[in-house]
Amino acid sequence: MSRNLIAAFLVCLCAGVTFATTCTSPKVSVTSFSTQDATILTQVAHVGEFSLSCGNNVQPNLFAEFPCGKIVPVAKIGNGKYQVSWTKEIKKSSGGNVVLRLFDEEGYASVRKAQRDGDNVSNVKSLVDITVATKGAYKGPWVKAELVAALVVGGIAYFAFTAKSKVQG
Amino acid sequence: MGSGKQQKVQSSGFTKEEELLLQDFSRNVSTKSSALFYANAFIVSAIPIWLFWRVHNMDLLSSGIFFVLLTGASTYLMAMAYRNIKFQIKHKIAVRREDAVTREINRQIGDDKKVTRKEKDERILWKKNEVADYEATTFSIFYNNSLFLAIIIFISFFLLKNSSPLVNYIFSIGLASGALALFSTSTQAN
Repeated sequence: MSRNLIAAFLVCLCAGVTFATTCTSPKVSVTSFSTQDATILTQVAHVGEFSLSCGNNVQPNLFAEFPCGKIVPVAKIGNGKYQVSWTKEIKKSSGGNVVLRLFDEEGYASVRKAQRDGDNVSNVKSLVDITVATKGAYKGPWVKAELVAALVVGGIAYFAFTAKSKVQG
Repeated sequence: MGSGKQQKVQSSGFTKEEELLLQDFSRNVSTKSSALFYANAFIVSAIPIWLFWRVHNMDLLSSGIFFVLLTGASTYLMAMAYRNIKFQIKHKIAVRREDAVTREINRQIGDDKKVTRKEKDERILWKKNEVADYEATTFSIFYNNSLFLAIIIFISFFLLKNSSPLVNYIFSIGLASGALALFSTSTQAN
């Protein structure tokens, strides 16, 4: 009898702990930053910062899933503040909105389980989805200065050459 | 043209008209023309130093000896190219301008009876020579400068863009001025 009581107590305790660490009615506000000048870089970085406030005031550890399916842990940078960052090759990089699905530890465990079982990860319910607005980086002028100089001086040289031929002709 | 040279030629038996005609075909340039050529050649040879200093990041002091040597050599070669191109086109320009110069001199002289026909011909020859000399000098400078800068930009930015700046400088200046000096010595087969 006493064993059953202890077991019931432990189950209630675990459920209570789980309930306490699950963020309820999450609210997110997102700011973002992208590399602005990529003229001498090979990759550009995008950073998304967001603050998460839960109805029950918990600050869970989060994981972010990118549209490509990759999942990374989200860094906690302050009280209720989180940061997620990634880099992209310049050629593949372009501006636009990137939707990240955020999971808490429980959700992440469900994702891992779905991956192990070969289920569709998109069926796992995320804690909240955030949209990070990324901007395209400046990759240098469309036409390089030396090409413009070469074309201009080439045109002048052509004019000089034909003028000389005309005089001598 | 220098008056000392004219008298010297006259003393060797040429008439003034013959001397003017000879000037039309002369390869000699006056001191004024020569100074103009060397000053222009120096400026256009020194301009690439800025390009290699500011754009190709060459150090002015450590590469100074190369800048001085190649600017000097390039000045000499460019001045030579100016002279040769001027010689090539001067007579052609004189022929092209002959009618216009004759018309102008005739208009200026008008019905002045004091001017003899011989004197008028001499004036036409002198004016024609002066016009052709001026046009040939300016055109030669324009032609050689534009080709020099075009060759330098092509070699330094496209042909040798992956070379070290010093090698790039030596070859682009050397090849540009050398090629222009070489091509200016070519003669037309006609």
